[in-house]
Amino acid sequence: MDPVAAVVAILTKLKSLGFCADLRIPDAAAASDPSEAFDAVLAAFLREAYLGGREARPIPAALGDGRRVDLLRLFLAVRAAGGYARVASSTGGWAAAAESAGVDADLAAAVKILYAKYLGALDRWIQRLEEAHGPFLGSDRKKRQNLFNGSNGVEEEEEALLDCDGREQRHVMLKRKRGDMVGMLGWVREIAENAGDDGTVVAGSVDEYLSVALAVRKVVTRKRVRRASMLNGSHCQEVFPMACDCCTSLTNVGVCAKAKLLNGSLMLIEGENNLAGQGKCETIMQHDSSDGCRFTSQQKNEIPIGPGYQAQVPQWTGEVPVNYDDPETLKWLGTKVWPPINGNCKALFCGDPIGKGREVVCGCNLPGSVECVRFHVAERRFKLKRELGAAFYAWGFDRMGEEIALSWTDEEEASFKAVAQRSAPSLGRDFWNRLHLFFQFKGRKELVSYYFNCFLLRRRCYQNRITPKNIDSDDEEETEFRFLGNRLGHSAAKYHNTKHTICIENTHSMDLDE
Amino acid sequence: MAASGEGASLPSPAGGEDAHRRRVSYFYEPSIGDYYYGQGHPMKPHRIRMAHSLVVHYGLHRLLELSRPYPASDADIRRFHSDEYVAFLASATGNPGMLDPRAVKRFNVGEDCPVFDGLFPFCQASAGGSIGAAVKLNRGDADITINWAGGLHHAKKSEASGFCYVNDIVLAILELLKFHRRVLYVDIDVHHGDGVEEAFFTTNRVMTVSFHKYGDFFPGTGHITDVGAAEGKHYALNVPLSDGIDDATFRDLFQCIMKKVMEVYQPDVVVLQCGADSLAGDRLGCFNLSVKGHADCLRFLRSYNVPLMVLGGGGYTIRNVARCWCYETAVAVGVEPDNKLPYNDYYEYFGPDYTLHIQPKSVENTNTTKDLENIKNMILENLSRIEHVPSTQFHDRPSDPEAPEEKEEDMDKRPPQRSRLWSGGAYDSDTEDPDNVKSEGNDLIANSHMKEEPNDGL
Repeated sequence: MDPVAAVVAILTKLKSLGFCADLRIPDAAAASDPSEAFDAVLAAFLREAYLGGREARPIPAALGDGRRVDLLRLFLAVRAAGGYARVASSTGGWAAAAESAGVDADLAAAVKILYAKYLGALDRWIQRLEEAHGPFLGSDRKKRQNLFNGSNGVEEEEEALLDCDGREQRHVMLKRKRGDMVGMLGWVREIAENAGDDGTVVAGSVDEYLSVALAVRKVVTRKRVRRASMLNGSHCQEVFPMACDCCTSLTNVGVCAKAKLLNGSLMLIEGENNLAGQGKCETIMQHDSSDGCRFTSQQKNEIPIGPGYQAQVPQWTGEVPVNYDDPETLKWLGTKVWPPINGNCKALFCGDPIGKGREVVCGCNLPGSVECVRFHVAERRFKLKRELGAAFYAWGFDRMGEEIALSWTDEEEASFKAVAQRSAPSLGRDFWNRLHLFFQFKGRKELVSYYFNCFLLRRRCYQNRITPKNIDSDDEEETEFRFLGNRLGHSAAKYHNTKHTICIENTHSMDLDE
Repeated sequence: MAASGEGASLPSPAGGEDAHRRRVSYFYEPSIGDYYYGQGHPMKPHRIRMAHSLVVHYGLHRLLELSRPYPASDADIRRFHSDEYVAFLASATGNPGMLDPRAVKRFNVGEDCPVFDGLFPFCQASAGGSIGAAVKLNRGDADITINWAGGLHHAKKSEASGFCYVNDIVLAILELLKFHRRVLYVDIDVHHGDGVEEAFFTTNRVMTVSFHKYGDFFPGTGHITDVGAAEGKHYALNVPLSDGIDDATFRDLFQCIMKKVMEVYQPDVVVLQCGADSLAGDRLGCFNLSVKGHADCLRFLRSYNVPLMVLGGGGYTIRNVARCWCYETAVAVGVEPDNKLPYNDYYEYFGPDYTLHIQPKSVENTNTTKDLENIKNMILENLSRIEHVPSTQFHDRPSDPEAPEEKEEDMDKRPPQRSRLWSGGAYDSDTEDPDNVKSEGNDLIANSHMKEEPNDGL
């Protein structure tokens, strides 16, 4: 192919992809030195393709020893051989390419690197374009614009898939097969992985995935804004700390694709590929007014209004329901448990005064020891049972605390502990599955009940005496199991003033770190 | 000391007195503690059982009427929630493994709001307790009603959110609206009470006031300029706060704002969501309140002698949640319990100090005086618009917009059914606990003292 025509063709293709829109290569210049013209096109392309502060590559390109390489010739040679991937997979492919570019064949490796750095992105873009539309660009450009803009509302599955429920306005996305979602995610992942290391960014295929990614991002961010997670406590302001600089700094934006992985979730922040050449850039700031979360500090989430959101509140008429004694209403009073209906509760109030706490002193041998506490708790239970009568059972006091363990055999308790310990290091989601597998005859409720009433209680009992400064036991996921894994030496297992308490204690319940 | 007298009693705008014990009704579902959101999930219904255990071991039940709630049916839940959503919740419970992925997305169940075994009965118990609490107040059977299993303020009409599936608060308020013209909802959870606010965003029959952490925090709503819309404009208040707010700061702000709210809005009934994640050391929260500081909010609102519903909510350091809700139950019945916890079935959870109260953490209070002043001013400014805009809400007959404004409505004017709400004694008489009864004179002294210098003992 005539190098001059080739440069013009490349530029046309790039323009069709939204790059180099303002670039004009005078025919005369292209004709006089096509290689120089190509360098200019390439420089413009790279600037736009590698937005985000990446340093421009020195052009004209040179090998390590200072020898200049004609990028146009190299590019055309490789394209003629079928593109980067084809050349790389064929033996001697790079040597041949090097020779056609006027470089020694034994510099094939250096040429390969140079190609990857300078021409890899261009190669991929052109490759995709040709795969999609054949090597020649024709009048299908208009059609593709429409496709890209997705302006003709097409009914489709992804929309339903992504649409969150009517809380968001439904928007139109390109009709795509589900497989594209996977492809798009792969593409984004690739960008994300490459964004960090200098030099290799996969520009990707604009018509394949960028539009999908944009639409997905739009939906996901809306959902995210409305549905921030309580667990990571973040919402939009954290997710989008900045506007996309590249979108505002350039009048004509090519593709600025930066993927950000925040909080383990995928976030795309980029300007819209300007395929339509309108020079307009959708930024993440733009949202529909109905649910828009704007991201500056002054902007906030709007409360959606409509019958789908508000409760129906009747006007106050001053008239109250007349038959408020009907069974339908009275059912809400529930089952009265206290005061006892028949019992003479006053007679039962022989116990401690209301609001009374525990006695400071007790007659136990080792006040504060596990035995001491167990004794007093049992004593309280006994008193309480007498006072409450039926209410004791109605409130489930018979199923509270270590009492639960009575229905468990020693072996079962040991197994429970073993499963917990085994689940400790990684603690995936399989702790309960393992428990269920192990205790097939115990129901979920029974296992949960044992977990809170005995297992955690005993762990806390242990922590209170061994690591009283680190008792964050409610956090079962992190601290408790970490604690389990933390093998304390025997010396650490001594409780200052009641040394042998631990020994006794270990025999029946607290041998967690054995 | 066991069982001291009434808590704080600030002068109520209606000139009510605080010398009498309130009739307090408390709903508890004994199976609540066995519901389980899943491994590692911070929301643990077990905390409600722990709180109940403390309540009973302190003997507070003797001053309470306790009921087991009637489970709300799906028809009851549909009084607020959409049909599809309720149908989903009711069916999802049976087979959590076989969920329609579209429904999972649509109703926002998944990570924060897992579909766990027993989900629907859990929602039924929570909602049943709160609706029951509303019916009790409507009937005039109680002055204060408590449901620690309620307060799930994030749930939306057609969507679960923030560990909440069914908005028991909205259901309860809808029940209250049958008998009460104006319901005040107050929310001291560290998270914004977005579900309740949204549900009543366009009505002036419910005013919502939420004190919450704002800025990079779930759920992202609750900006100070969100004040309601349409008829409900200026009837939603948001008090956005920053990390580390302490007792004194919170109390000043809370009392200043709530005093004005009570004065201006004159609610017929108050619903207080007592989310305990605003306590110091919460697993998800970032405030620095002590149990006392938290309970002061209840104490303050209680002093107004307006029927009061007290609900649970968030709270993820479960030992502190149990402490807090036990203490608040005590405040409701007017008892000051000993700090040394009685021995109880969950005693070891409260080690190594085994006390009722917790120490605030030594963290910085990032709420500057200037910020708080601004917030206060903006809120008061908003409230003044209610006060100064002649509106129909305060008329006896809303159909007649020309009727003169009745600002000094008698707070004791009640629907006929609601007989003798304010003279109520305790369920049992005070005789077995004479220390508890304080003379009115003492209370007045306490009042004037309180007005001068609010302190921690408040």
